[in-house]
Amino acid sequence: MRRIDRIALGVAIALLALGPLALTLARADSYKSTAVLALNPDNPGARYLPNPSKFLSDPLKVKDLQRAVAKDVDGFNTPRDLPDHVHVVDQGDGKFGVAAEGPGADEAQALATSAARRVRDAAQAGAAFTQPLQLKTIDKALKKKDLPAAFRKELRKRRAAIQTSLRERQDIYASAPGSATLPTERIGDRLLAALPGKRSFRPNPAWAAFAGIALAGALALWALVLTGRRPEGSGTTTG
Amino acid sequence: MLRGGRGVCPRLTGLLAVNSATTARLTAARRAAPALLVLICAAVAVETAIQPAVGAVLGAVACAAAITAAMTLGVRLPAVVWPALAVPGVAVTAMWPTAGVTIAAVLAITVLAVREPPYAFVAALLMFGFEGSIKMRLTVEGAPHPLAIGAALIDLALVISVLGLLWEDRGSSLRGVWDRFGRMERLVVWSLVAWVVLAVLQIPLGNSLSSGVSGLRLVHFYLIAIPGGMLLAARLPAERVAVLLMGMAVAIAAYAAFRGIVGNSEHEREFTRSRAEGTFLGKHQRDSGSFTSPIALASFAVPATVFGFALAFMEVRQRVLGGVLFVLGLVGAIASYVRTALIAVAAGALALAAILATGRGISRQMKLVAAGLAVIVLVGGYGATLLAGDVDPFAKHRAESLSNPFGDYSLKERYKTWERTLKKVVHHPEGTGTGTVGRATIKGSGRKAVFTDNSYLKILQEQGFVGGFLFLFGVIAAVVLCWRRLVRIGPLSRPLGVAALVAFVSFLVLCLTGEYVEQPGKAFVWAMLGITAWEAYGR
Repeated sequence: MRRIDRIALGVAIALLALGPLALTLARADSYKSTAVLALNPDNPGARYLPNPSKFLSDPLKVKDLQRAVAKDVDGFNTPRDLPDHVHVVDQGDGKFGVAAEGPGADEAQALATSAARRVRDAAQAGAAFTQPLQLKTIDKALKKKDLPAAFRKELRKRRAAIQTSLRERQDIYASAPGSATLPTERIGDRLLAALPGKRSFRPNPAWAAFAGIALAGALALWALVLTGRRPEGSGTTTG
Repeated sequence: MLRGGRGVCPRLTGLLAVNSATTARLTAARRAAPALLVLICAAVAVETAIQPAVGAVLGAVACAAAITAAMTLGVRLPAVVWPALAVPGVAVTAMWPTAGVTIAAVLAITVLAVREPPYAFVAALLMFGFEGSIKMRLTVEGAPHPLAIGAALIDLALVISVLGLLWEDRGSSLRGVWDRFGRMERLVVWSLVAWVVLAVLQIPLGNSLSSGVSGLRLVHFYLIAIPGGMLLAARLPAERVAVLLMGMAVAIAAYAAFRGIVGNSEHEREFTRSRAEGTFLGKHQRDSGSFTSPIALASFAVPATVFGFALAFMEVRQRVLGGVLFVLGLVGAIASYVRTALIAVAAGALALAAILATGRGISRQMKLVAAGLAVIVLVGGYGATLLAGDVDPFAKHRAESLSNPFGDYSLKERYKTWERTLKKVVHHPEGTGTGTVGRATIKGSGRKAVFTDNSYLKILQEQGFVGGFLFLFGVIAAVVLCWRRLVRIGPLSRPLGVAALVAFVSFLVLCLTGEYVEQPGKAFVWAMLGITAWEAYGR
């Protein structure tokens, strides 16, 4: 083997041994996209809804919603895993982030957008059922005679706000945003996205490193053993 | 062309006139080589246009083959070849590491095929034992056409290893055996050859050409393992062949036994469920080991178990390895809940007892021990199956039905399927065409297939009376002739041949209740037939 051949082979082996790991590490494990939902600021009763983030996070465990999201998002075909990929985060001030994880930026955005729309509708339905119950509870409390005056005033204020909300059928949650945030793609993903075919999930870096080293070893074996092939006739011993 | 060139273009005529190579008399091989190259390039181009991923794989294979050929012929390759190969290698491995590992295995097998072909052949058989794991990992990693690419790489490894064996042997061992064959043995060979040729001719009988080709690949293609097995036995001492094959089978059976005890992984469960029907018994999933389905596992575990059992019984030096293989294989077979597997293992043990009972130079004590062991295998296997059935009431019922197989529901259902198939055979005596029964009928990524629940009926339906007869005659006559020969020589002087023969017989029994002839164990089993033939006629 000439020196130039040996250098070229060395470069190729190094590329194969280290390339897959480097490229895998340069890829994102998963992308995160967030869609922000908020309580309807025009609905005075919305702010009195107890634990509003629970109304948003609980529907993620409902099968119908999981199936609906899976139907909306291409490539998301494990509906039961929705609670693992989507989380609701209370951002304070009546705002809630629906954070979704996906293998790619577009997938994460699509999942966050669909999940936000679906959980918002489900939460809206749930909250609408809750408001009459809230009224009943307030009425029951108001019947008590030993209530402090300030508390009674507060209860009456709440009652009026909730009653207005019910009467005017106002939305408790504001409409879901058109689309969630679009995360920036990592360089490794951009490189692989340039290749033809569908992009896959990021593999386990240890497995990618092992595969690269195995392929580099096989290339070394292939090139070094076959270029120095021994003369014919010295094959395996005949049994 | 030279004469015509003058009329077409004077410049071309001049160019040809000064080039002495073009005026030299070309040999037939030199004329055929460019034509073959053009054909290969055209085929790759067409495939690339239809399925880019498959085209890319074919192109890469052609490229690797060309480089291997150039290196073995001593042609100096330009230095840029290596980095040029590495770049796509990095991309493929970074996206689908399993593809990188499988390609590495194929490359290593290529090197072995050039240097030590028998080891390449055993390595290729090992790859068959992990076909399910390879396809499952490729699917999980999102590789394009994971099943087709996984199968293609495994088949490629087998082809390379057999070519390596043929190249090293230059056909001398095969010619030697052929010379020793009598009229009947040659008739068997011609019968099997005719069966394959007929299958090729019957491809257009089916509705789909691609299903026909797929059917041919799934069944007939693997007959190349017969010469592979013969040459493996011819190139290495019998004892080393036995150790190599058992070592390879132990690796596969150990994983099957491990999964049988602890259960399949999440990905394996999902994959087998998506690829095969009946992978669950109630709520309990059947063991599939490193294969695509429990049926696929049984197709390998049964002959491997019998092979280990026979060698452990006959050869003192193989007792430990053979015993380990027998136990691990049996655990895998029982955990797959394929009831015929147990019957097939017992049939293999009975066949061993029968060979030893009729063979030369066997003591009376050994004959009795062999018969006793066959009974122990049957009774012990039944007991173990009952024990394994405790995981689920449905599994328990299935295990218990082994004591009354003819009253069992699934056997009654099989009778109906067999009756239906026989009616079809009567309506289509010429056959319905290759690839009209079995896995070749699965559409896309589905799992529903046309089935006959019997390998012999599958061939009878697909290839009609002529094809069915050729196959049955070829296989049964091969067994009878090898059996007779080994009995005459003395079974104890050919333990490898006897073990391979009883392993083959056990597979033939297994084939009675399913399309096992197209399951991954076939490569190992056809190699067993080749080894038997060499041990009986070649050594």
